[in-house]
Amino acid sequence: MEILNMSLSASVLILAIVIIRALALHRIPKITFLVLWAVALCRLLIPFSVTSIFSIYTLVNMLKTHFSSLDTTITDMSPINIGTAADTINTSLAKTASVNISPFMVAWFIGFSACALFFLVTHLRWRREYKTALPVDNEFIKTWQRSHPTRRKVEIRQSDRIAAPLTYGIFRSVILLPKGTDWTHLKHLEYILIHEFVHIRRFDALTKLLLVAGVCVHWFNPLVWVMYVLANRDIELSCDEAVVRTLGETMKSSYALTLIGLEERRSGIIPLVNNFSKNAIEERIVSIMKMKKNSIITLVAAVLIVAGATMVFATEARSDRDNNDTVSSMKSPTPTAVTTSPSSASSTERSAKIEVDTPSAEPVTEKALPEYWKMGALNVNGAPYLPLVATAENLGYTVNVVSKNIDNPEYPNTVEYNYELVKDGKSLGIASLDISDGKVAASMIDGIFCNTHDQATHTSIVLQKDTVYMPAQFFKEALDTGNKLP
Amino acid sequence: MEIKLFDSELKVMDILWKEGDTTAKRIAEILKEQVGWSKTTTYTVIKKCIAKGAIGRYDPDFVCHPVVTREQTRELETTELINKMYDGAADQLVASILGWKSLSPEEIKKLKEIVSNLE
Repeated sequence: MEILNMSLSASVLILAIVIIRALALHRIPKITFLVLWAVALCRLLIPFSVTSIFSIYTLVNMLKTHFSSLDTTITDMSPINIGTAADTINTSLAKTASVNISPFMVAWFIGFSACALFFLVTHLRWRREYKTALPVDNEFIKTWQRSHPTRRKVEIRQSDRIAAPLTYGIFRSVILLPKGTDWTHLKHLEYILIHEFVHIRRFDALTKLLLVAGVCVHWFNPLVWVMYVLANRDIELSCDEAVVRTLGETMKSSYALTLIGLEERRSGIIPLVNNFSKNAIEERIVSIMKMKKNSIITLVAAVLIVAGATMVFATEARSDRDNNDTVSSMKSPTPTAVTTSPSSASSTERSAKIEVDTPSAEPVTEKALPEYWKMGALNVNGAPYLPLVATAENLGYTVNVVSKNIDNPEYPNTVEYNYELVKDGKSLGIASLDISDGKVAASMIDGIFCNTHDQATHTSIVLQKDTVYMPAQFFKEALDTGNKLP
Repeated sequence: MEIKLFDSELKVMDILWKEGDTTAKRIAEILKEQVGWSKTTTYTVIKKCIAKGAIGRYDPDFVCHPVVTREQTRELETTELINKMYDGAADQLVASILGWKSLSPEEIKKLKEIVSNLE
């Protein structure tokens, strides 16, 4: 599951940011954290990876090669129990196809939909309310807006339904002021307007939307929720910082007092002030009062932190041939023993492979490989497996299912399939497949259909969607004579 | 019957009180001009008013009729103010208004008339 991988690797980064934030919140410019959250958000939402030799996963790999036994443990913890899958096949070959959507996917989708619906409904409901706001008739605000032109259209309105000023809309922003605003307190008004204009200029509404998207996709990951809360706070902190920089540092206590005033009014109207928002406003005030002019040192520190954290926690290990396998096995618990097909990603869940003996399937010729994929071959560790029936038919054979013995009293719990291959009215042999207790007991192919007769009894067969796949090499002779391959 | 109306709803009621029965379409037109609301926004507010029982509607054309009067609304708001700020004593509110708002001789004369009528 791609999402799980993305969630996992972003979690490490989020954890790192949370720690850096706790240590350096008041020491470096707040924008640093916004950049870091943006990197984490990219990791969460965009399925790509950048490699770097400094990646933390390089270290993990180095440790792993030392304790290589770890690898086997991870491979063993495969989510797909081969035995169980084979049991399903044993009960009914045809049924395998219908059981293909994993319960994890279903659970994820339900959670995703619930989250998305919740945010969407809440947002739309509030938005409908905001839309009923009335224009502000205030000379100061009009003059102020004229002297602060914006590229996008910004409206300033008032509403008796909100307790604190807010801005909504990404491309056509609207600043909403509560009706109870002290319209005569001009300094107060100016602070609020500067603050909201910073939000608009920075497209913070869009950032918040992306954060919501991250939370919806990764709803199962508590760290992503932590990130959602902290990033939203950091948006405010960084905005405050920009306001104080515009106003000048001497005004910072005056600005902080305005914020406290707004907060008092808010709690006056909504009696249920939870501890959490109290912490948030405290953090804001403290952060404003602790604000200092950015020195070269803090700027350098900020750049180093961003570069360092991104490099170490947001990249994959450099894909050396040696450790590439370990990375993929660490990142995804998908065991190599499960068959994968290039055509569909979810086939991992669908297919089950039954091994009787170590497969002797080597690619026939490197050059012919693309041709095999075109013929609908299955990729098993790089070797092509061709669908038995389809390939035979493709080669001009008519395939008849001669018999299908399910309840042979002599061989309990055994299913036997016999395919007869006919060409030009002549029977060319019988391919036989016995599945006993979920394992292929014997598979034999007679006649000239395949002249690797001896090996055929000890081979691996892949069952996928009730299709029998055999290593392409068993068709080699027939394919070569038929000039089907280059 | 107490119907508490928000600013947006009062805006719609204002039109009905001034113009009498009006179609929803016409209200939307007026408010688009006055406060820049879209048609859907106006309709949302009208629906809220209907749900609260402040507006009655009849077809065809979705004609809106003000069920509550401006006086009823004012009364409600004033009672609330008196209870909240003046401990339910209306005379204190009047005294307070007379204290800070300078009234013209004409207004004072009108008030005197109202008082003498009550007596």
